[in-house]
Amino acid sequence: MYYAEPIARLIEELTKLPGIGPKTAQRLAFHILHMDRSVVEGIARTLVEARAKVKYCSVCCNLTDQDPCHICADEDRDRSTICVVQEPRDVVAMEKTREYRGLYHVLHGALNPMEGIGIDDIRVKELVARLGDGQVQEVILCTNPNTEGETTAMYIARYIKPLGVKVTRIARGLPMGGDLEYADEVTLAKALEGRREI
Amino acid sequence: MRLYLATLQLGSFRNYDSATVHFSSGLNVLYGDNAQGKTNLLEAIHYLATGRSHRTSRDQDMIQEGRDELLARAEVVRKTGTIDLELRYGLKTRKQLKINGIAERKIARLVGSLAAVLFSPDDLQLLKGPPSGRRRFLDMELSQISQTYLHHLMAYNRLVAQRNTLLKESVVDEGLLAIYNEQLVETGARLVVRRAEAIRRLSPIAARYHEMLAEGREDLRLAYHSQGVGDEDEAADLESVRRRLERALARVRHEERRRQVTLVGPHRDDVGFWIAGRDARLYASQGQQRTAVLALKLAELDFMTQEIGESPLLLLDDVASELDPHRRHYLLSAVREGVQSFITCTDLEDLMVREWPESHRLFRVRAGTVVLDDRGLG
Repeated sequence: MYYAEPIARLIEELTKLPGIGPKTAQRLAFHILHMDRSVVEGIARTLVEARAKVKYCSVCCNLTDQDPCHICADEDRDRSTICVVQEPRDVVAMEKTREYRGLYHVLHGALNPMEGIGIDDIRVKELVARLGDGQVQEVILCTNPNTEGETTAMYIARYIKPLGVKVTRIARGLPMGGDLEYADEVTLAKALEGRREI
Repeated sequence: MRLYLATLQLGSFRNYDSATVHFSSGLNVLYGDNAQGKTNLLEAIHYLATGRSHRTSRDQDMIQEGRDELLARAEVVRKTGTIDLELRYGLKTRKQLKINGIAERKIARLVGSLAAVLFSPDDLQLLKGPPSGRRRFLDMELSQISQTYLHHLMAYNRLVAQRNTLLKESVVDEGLLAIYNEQLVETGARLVVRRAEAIRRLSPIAARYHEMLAEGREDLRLAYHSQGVGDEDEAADLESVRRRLERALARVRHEERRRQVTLVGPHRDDVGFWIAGRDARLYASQGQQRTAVLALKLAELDFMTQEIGESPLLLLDDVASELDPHRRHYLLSAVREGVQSFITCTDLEDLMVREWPESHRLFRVRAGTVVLDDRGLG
């Protein structure tokens, strides 16, 4: 009934990944065992390499293989603006807009006492260190519009406003291309609250 | 205008293997012996209206024994069109919602599509039970009326949970606490204002029903009591509620530190019931409680109709055994016009209906099956 030791160990290791339970791990393990040896070796090499080469950017804390990262090193980017996001994937989302030309700062989380995440567990000190020299004029807080993201934005705003930098919060509003009547009430109410004069 | 449940479909739900029932847009009577599945049908309707059961906080309790996923589906007719609601809950899968066949990530989006007012024997505890029951009553009602209210309520509960965790930490981050206070005041004030307004409007309607039910002997008055804010007259405008909550939080600062829990805000508020000038939470007799709760439920139905522009469903679970003939008769005469209603009973005679309304259907419920009884009474 029991698996051969290498198979059992593979299943065991795979369950260490998030979202992978024993059953999925079993399925993945057998899939791997039926794959071409060269493909498996490729995956293994990529895993080890990625882990070894990727580190945090010493400026913006984003994940990168070069330090400073390619955004922080880019001479053409506007150095007076920093966009603060929770996760590396949020940088990718912002970059896709091709509208934002400033720099980023990645917090790697949001304040969340229930999960034991306090101010020292996210990269706020690193952000404050970037504001000392007067080059940065605006910090745009782009944390998620939920309780944790909102709390984090408010906390950071209070922390850095005394440093004499302009602090803004990304707007909440209606998705583009949709009809007003299909927007949910909550979004619509928030959009109404954040209305502006034209 | 009324909204109504045209079709209910169940799969592996309580004692229903699978069932599809087409209801009348008027009165629906579900009769049968005890423990055959009458209340389970009302529970399924309530589940589709609010996203949760009125009998259990654990969804898995509703899955049929030996099965691993339940299905509850409703076809709802509203003035804006037909809505198809589908809820699935599995032991291995999360709760899944589809509206008109499209998967919705947030279960909260369900609330309000099928509005319903439930009256069950448990509701008789509303007056003398703990304040949490009265808050739940208000929250259920307001959530069904407004998605915005539900959103603020969920955000508020989350804030309180986070803040309570913070208060339990050995070294409390003062900066973070200040921000939670600010958000608690902002979100809490919105809830207080909305709840106080609802009570202010419910009170005269409930009083009118109560007068008729009690035959003018006693009067009923409702009042919203807010921790730190004061009574409802003071809870009228948002700005003043904010200021009061802020002051109240400052007042209990040290006590909160000691007890490590959030002590002021809408999560500790209450609704007061006054019958003939006396606090019903303390002094009401069984009969007085029944009359007051019934008046409150009928008022809720009217209030929701005013707010959403359509009459919600009225679910009456086993009222025959709980109400005397006078109140029962009054309740049944109230449900006849313009409201889709569902009544469960063990014996049709118990309802003592002399004349059935034209648009009614009788269903015989037996061992997890629902059969339309078309012999027609009247």
